[in-house]
Amino acid sequence: MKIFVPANNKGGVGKTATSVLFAEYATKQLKMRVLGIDLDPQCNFSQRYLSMEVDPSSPEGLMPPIHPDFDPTNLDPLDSEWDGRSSIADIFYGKPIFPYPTYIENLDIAPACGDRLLAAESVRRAELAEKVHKRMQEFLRLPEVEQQYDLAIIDTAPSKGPLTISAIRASTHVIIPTVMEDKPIQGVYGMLQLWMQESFQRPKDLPIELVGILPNMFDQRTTLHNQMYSSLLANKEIGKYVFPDDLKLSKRVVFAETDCTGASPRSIFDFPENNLARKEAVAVCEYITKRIFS
Amino acid sequence: MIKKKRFGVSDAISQGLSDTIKMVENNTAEFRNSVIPLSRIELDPENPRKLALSPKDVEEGIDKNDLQYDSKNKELDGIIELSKSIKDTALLHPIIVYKSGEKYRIVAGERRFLATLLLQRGEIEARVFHEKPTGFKQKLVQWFENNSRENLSLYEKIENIRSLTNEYQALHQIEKISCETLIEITGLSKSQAANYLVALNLSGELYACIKTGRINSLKKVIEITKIKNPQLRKKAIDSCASSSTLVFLRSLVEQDRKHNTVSHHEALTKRGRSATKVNMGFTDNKAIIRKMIYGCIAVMNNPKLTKQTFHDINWDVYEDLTKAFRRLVMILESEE
Repeated sequence: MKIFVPANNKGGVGKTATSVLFAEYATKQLKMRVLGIDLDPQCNFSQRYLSMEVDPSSPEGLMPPIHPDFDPTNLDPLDSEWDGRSSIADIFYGKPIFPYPTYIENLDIAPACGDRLLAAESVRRAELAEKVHKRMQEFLRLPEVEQQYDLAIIDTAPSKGPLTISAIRASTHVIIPTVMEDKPIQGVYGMLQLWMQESFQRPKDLPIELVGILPNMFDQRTTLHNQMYSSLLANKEIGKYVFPDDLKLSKRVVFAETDCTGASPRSIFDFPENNLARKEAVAVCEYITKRIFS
Repeated sequence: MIKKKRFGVSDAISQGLSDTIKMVENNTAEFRNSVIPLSRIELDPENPRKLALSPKDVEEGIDKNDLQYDSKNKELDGIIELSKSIKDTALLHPIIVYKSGEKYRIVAGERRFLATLLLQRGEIEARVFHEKPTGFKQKLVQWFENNSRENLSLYEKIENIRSLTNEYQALHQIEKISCETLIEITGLSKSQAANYLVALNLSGELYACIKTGRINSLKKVIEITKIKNPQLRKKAIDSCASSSTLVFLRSLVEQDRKHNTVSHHEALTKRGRSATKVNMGFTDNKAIIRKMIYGCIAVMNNPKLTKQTFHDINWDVYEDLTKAFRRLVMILESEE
């Protein structure tokens, strides 16, 4: 099972958009079995596919809805204490996970729970942090998980804290989406540091592959984006990881539109094949597929 | 007029990006540096213990009924000293561990681990191998660890080298490691490596003295090995027990060298093939020949050897004296 992680220190650069895009491409176009994991306390990835509810104990946070398979009258004895909700945060508390099905066939999601993820993120004591760091890897290496899915996609928060470390440590492939502007590119640097740190801990035969630096929300009308992009490409080392010239995700409102509740079409891949946004998305996803699976 | 806009990634970020990528791509390390919770660290049950003291002794105190109470207490004193040093200057030399399931097992640094336990710090700096270093690699790690310790005896140092070289020889299926190879793998200087190779072949009294700690200086050992004379060598070994200086030992070496030089010189004066005849020599003293002949006539009861036998000899003429001496030798030879 491949484990794909979009990550960047900076918020709003397209991590969740990349997670959504590739999850839907892999299931709709490639017919893979995909597990989406939302490690961002903001729960955006989860909200795309589930009707997340407000957590009464933490009004700022969201929690997953009641699981569609929850039947309180017919619970498995092992799950007698289950309240019907399941979040990926439960792995940090030693509880089982019940992924939620989505409207897309073969795409399941292990949603976030804002409050519980924030608690895991705030762990700082070395001993506890170490437990959080390795927990995702342990979970994804469970035979029942590996056999169930071809691909896991972990959406992360704009942070280098324990949760993101946990995701990178579990990953086989990392992608760094960025906007071609100064602060987001500094975020790229920060995330590369984390990639390096985790790479050094890996045995040689199990590296964390860097899929690349994906230009997102690219506005080709602007000198800023074009020159920043060229500047990155000109760098001998980093240039080979920047997505090639015709593979960018342009700044298009359609991506935001499909993210709205009740949107139709719901997915970019439901648009006609000659749609420019869809063509761009397919080209980028084909490149990512090649980088991960070949 | 508005200046044309120009944008680019800052040099600092660009350099940072390059350097980070290069470091990952070029990473050939077999271990990484990390900080590990003490509770995750354990001793390696497959490695023989060098200390009697256990982590439990350090954390809970040594049991008064413990049979090894005295030796453990002595070790604890050393650990306490080490902990003070770590507290003052921090742990500059990480311990070496390898991952074993959920735990990390110590390859080297047991004393530092115990000292850090004593300080009640939650974690320790460690160099983590991805897998347990075995064979030669393990010996090399332990060599570098032990080499940095100041309180290692000469015997321990020699045995560490022996352990390392044996492992290397077995790995490469060679009979004997060369000096150049030893330098390469250990970082020793040329003279140190050469000296240790000499020390590895020691036996007998000198080796016994090293083992018991009577001699703890490699330089003194090397000087002693230069002495061939057994008495001088014994004198040198005994003098080390009473803390003789290197100067004194070198004087013994010099004595030995001179002794060997005289013997050598004597051997050099005899040249050519072995003699098969006696050289009677020459003399200009005429009276000696007459004395010699009359002496033989007096002591020997030989009818052929009388004064009459030499009646024709003129004792004042050298040629007659030579004839008389030859006649004496002939008569004596005819008797044999």
